[in-house]
Amino acid sequence: MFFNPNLKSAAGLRDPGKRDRITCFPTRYGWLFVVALSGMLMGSINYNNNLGFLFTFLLGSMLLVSLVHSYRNIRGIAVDKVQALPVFEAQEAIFELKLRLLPRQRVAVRFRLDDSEAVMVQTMQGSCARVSVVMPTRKRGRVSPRVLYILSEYPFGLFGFYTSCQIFIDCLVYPKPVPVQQISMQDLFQAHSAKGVALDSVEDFKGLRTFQNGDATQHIFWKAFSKGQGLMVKEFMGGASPCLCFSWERIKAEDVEKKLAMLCGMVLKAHGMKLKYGIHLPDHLIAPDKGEHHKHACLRALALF
Amino acid sequence: MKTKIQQPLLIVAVLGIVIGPLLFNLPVWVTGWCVTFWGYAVLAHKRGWPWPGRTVRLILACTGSMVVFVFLGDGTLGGQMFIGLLSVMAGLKPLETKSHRDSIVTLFMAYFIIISSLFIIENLFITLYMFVSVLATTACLIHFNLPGRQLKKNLRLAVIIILQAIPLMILFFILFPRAEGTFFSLPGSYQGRSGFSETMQPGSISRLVRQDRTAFRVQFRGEFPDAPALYWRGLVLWHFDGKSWSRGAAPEHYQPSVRGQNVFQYDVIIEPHRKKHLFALDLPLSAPPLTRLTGDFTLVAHWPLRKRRRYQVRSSPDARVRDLGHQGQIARQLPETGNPEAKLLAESWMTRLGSPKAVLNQAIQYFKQNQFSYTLKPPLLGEDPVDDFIFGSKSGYCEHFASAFAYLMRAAGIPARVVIGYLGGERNPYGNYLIVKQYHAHAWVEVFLDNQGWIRVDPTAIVAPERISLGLTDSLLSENLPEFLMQTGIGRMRAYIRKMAYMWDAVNLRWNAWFMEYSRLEQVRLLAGFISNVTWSRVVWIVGLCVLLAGMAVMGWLQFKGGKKTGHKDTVKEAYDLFCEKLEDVGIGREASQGPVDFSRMAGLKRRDLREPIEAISHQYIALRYRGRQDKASQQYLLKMIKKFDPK
Repeated sequence: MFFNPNLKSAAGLRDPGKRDRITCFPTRYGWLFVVALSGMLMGSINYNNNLGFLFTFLLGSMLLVSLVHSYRNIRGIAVDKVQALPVFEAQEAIFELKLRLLPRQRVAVRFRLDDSEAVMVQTMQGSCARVSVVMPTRKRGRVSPRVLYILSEYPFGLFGFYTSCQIFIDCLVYPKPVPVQQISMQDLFQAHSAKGVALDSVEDFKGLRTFQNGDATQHIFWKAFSKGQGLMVKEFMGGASPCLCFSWERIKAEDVEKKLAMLCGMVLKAHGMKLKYGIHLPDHLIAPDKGEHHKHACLRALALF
Repeated sequence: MKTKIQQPLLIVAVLGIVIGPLLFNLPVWVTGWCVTFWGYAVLAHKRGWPWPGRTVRLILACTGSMVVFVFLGDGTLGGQMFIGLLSVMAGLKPLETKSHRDSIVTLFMAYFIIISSLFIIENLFITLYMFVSVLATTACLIHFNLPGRQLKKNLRLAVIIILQAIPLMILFFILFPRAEGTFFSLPGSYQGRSGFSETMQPGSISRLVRQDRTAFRVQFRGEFPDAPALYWRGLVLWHFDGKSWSRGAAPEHYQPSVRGQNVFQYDVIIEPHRKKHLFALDLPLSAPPLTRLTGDFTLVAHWPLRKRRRYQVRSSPDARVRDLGHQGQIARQLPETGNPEAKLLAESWMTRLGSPKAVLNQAIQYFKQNQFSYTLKPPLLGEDPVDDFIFGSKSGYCEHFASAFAYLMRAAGIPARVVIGYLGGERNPYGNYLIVKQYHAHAWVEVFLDNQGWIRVDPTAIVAPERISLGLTDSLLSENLPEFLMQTGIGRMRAYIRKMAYMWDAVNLRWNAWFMEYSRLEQVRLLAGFISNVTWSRVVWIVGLCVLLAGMAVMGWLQFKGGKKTGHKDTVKEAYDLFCEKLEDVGIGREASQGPVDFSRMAGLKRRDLREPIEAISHQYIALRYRGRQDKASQQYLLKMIKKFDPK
């Protein structure tokens, strides 16, 4: 199946005009404020002091009015789309939210995925906005947040409102690549002789010709050079690159994660060198190919192994 | 671009605003304390001076509290000490507001300082000032919560929220159920400073002349009594111990009936003095609610006065109590020993003259003829103060005269008692009411004669009649009077200030009448009145009030929305945003620098298949946006096109 990580998305789609489920919550200062306010009210009642009453009611009314401001600050935000680009292990997973808004100035709205750290957007205006929320990654595989919280304690920081929506998108986490210095010729040719592995590149190999300025060094046929036959360059059909297959079994490393990390590094290196490559995992074979999509397909296989 | 104001500066500013009015009620060193540490905090912030560590702050806090305990503590947890402690802590606070938590807690403290100042200073000024304090503190609270925004914007938001809260506040204020009386009280808490004490000894009343504070105000319904009749009865003192007079075993459950010809009806608005006694014009005929009339015709409230109170009394200056009842014994009480010469003098009068009336006249004559002088600064008296006064110094203030006169009467076997209260009052030309100040404090004597009943004898008036006819200032011209009683100086300026003070006092009294005295009674009356008898004018009033409140709310709301253009929805812009979004979804994003023309050209090149609709939409948008087309049909057309547009 074709997989395009750039466009795949899904999210709770809502009409920004519709009333969302918005919940009020006090911060710890909010609790403290309420306690202080009750104390002031008690004092005013006890001494029957009208100035005390006036002050207490002014603060109380301000708190109530601030709730309206706070509610309006959160209301009318709809998540249109969530996108997540794959990342490598230990990088932060970035979820890009595309928001549809009832146009209104919004201040200090925070976005949070599950329990990760919230991202604060200072001001939002207009009818759409983009926000990137990050989540830490610890392991290769998928980071799949369940709930997106949109919250704000504007304006006093005493009480806030939050709204939440379920999201159904994963962020792929590729293994952390082990840098590979050079893919040696040995690898290349051993790949040819790997038993039972079909290699398309055999057919692509056309022949040898003498070296000309501008030829890629990795195409030099070193064996011939060492035999004193001069610099020869391998030629491939249709200008194709040499191709190779990275096999699980041939990687020498103590555990699975290390092996995956090395494979990951190789894939990246081969991709950087514009080679054709495939990977052969115990339960999975990806035929040699090249290009962005192919790279991601390989990395995905490694991530989900 | 203005430089951003940093947190410590804001905290200092807010605390300064909030504590300002309290500093007048506190000793100077508190001001010095606050200014010192605030100044240090500001400089430490600007110059990078070291911030004091935890230990230093703890030591400072302990020192400050100790000093407050020593200088302001009177053994109780009184109001003075409370605000003293608050101020000392507020002085130190800016030194330790490093974290968000500290800052917020400091602002909460600021709110507490505001309410304390409201409890302590009850007048119109502090009511208006409260809004300034709340605005400053709230703006700061918002700013600490949204530090990224401009302070100006946050201040504006605070103004908006306060304006929106005011109608709600008024509603709460009117409707919140009120109770009567005090449920519990801290000893000596909050309000009130005592006027005179409940005993009288030499110096206890002349001390009050140094005080410019108002004791109470009186609004007469109808005409004012003449100045010589303005004897404000406070307490009757029955017991003499040789030096000082006190209530002693005052007769409680005895209520003779009195009648008077000339009845005055008036309201007294009394300042809190932490005691129960109230004042009324001599002689009160009935007791206001929550008060009782004692057997010696003084008013006693059910609770100590902790806040300003208004009560209504009827009095008659010519009413007379003709019945001695069983008070004869205690009205003749004298200590066994002491003051022997005065006792001998009085006894000799009695044996010589025979009738109480004659003895009374003899005593009056004695005071007239023996060069007694009326002075604020009498010499100190010895072990037998009455003897020393009558035969030695012969000069004193009203308490000396009253004490000596009552002693002579009792020594002659005539029932007598001392009354303390106030004499006179200043008429405020702007409010048509009397202001009675502490320096009007006075003491006089009542003597019982068989056929006349209790009659008032004011020995001070015998010695210095101008005290009654001209008032205090003129009767003590030669004395070294307190500054505020001097009429000399820069005459015109002083008169002007006096005028202003009277005006301010009148305004405050009005404010007090309709705001501070709003209580359960008024509440019930107001609500019941609105519900039961609906009249045309009342409906107009209610509707007017509702319109006013609604207007305020709407104004506040518009103010809130007013930040953006005209307030109506920009459908064209929204539609175009949607169009851009749709294109963005297929990978054709609009750069911030691209105008609609450039964007349309670029999009047309990238998606040749959609070139036509893209150009049509852009054209329509430009026409609506930039060429001044405004008709609904064009807008509808644009909306329809954009809705139909589907690049996928």
